[in-house]
Amino acid sequence: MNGPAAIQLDGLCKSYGGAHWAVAPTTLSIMSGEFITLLGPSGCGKTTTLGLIAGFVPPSGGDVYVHGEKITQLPTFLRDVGVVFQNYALFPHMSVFENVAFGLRIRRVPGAESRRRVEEALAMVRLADFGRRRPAQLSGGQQQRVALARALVIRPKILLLDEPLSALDKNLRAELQLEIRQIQRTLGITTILVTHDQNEALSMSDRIAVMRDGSVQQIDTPDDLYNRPANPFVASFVGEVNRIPVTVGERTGDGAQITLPGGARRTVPTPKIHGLNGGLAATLFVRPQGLKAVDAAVAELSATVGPVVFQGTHCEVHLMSEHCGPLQLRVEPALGPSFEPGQECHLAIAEDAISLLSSPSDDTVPQ
Amino acid sequence: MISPPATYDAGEFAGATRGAAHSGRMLRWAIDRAWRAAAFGFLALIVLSLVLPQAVVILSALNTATIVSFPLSGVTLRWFVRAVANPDFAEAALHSAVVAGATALIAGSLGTLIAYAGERFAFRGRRLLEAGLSLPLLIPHFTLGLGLLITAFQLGVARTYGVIVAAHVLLVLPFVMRSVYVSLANLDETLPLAAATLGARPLTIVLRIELPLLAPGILCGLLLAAILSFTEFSASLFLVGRHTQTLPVAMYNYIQDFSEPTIAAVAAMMIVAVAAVLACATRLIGLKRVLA
Repeated sequence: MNGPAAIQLDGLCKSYGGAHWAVAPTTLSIMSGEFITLLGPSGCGKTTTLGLIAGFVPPSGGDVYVHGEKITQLPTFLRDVGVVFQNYALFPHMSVFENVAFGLRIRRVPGAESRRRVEEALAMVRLADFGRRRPAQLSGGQQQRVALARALVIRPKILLLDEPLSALDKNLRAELQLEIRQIQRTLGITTILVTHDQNEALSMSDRIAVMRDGSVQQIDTPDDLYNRPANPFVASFVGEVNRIPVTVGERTGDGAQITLPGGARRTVPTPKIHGLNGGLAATLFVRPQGLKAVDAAVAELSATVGPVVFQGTHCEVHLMSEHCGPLQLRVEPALGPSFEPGQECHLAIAEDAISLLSSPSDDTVPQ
Repeated sequence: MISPPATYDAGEFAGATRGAAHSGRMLRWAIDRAWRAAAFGFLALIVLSLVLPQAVVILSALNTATIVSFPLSGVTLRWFVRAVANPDFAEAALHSAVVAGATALIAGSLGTLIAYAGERFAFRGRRLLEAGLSLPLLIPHFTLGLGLLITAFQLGVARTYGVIVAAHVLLVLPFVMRSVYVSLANLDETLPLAAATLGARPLTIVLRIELPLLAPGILCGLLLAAILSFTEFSASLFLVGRHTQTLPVAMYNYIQDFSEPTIAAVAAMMIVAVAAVLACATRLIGLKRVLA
């Protein structure tokens, strides 16, 4: 599918004066039908980016294109964007039906057609019989589904979701994630989700843009983001990760030798080396499932077993290492009881388990 | 006799300690009770002092004695008949109603406009304007009345309806604005954004989203304005003429000459009218709140 991107941000930025960007100049192409998530901690500029696209916030520079048309100067009411807000933002003085019909009435869609479309939209979010209720009479999940129906019934060019599920409890959130994703796929509508919840981002998105301090750190598929993070921030923000201090040794043909804290050595393949030179201190990032408990003979690291946490599908083993600080290991639930707190445990890093090798001069890592 | 609640009972304590601990708890419990009783009595006293004068006025309007007095020597409605039949009072009541209506409408729309603009557009001098408009809360009403009287003479509009309404608008504006501010503060600021994404223009958002949601606050402000205007006396005293006399001023003039209970009957009717309006409003606005 060639032609213009569904959404194109071209150097889009926002500054409220002062030294730092609310949103640093951002260039980003989103394909038609794609589900993109802006993921980051609060204050990273993800909601402001959404506000720039929706027209709530005037940009300090750059442009927004939707299907090739420049909309930077258009007021919100001419932009044809559907938005779902964190607090639902349903009109409390209108019934559910009137809420969904609001956008159609503004567009002067004839009565019969309007009625049919509202009923379709409510059926789509499984609230066909709730049209006459007031928003206050619905649960949080139901209200958010009404908000989704209201945003989609006008057939917007793009759909923007601003932390739509963060006010809901965990089970409901998972259910609605699936439901929203399914509806989005069926309609094929280009969607941007803003969230601080990494699980939500990983489970819903085609691609994720991780943001920090107003700038996009990495934009990739969930799989690439998790397994091939671009920097320590991404590695730590998306999923759990162990940080192991190492020393980089001499370069070999297909990588470089590194020395682990206990003195063990291993080779790290070239793509992970970036520009690191020999003799430098660096940090190795390994996911919890990338560490294995092994016999002392083949151990690369050792640590003392701490709490063992049963998580249903797996067990988290927390360890404390003299050289590395806290470490985390993920094992099958049945193996959990074999780790006794206080016991010495020998560890090795699995093949291909290294997410990232970074020099200390890279971004500082949030705790 | 009320016994101390079970939580104060130190059943686990044994021997001598038990006796001491127990009496200590009893004492604390008794002090607690006494405090509650005192606080309740104080509140009751306040409420009573608010309600009692009005009850006395209404009762003395029913008294057969020819001077305003209490307790009753007999019950009659003739003071009410006289009050209604008095053309001065009838005319003054009509004036008051017209002034109250005009004041409510003008102060209501002006107050809503200023409060809305102040909340939505952070224009220059907004704080100063708000502070200036709050002045009537602080300065004595008669100062405002006197000032306006002098001004009105200069302009050649003294003793007209216009001046009275202008004075009342100034006096009630801070109350109207506060009422609207409360509604504005409760208005979810994402609602206008949501409406805009659905294609609503700014004017449509005001008319279809914001005004309906602010309606209880505006209505409340309107009512407050009407009641305050209807009962306003000290500023009006300077501003009314013989043909623009409002009810409180007419009552004041009457009481200078006569001391029989007709005046109590007028006051009683005023109390009942205001109470009735308030009761209706509470019901209406209360119902709206439930629906919203």
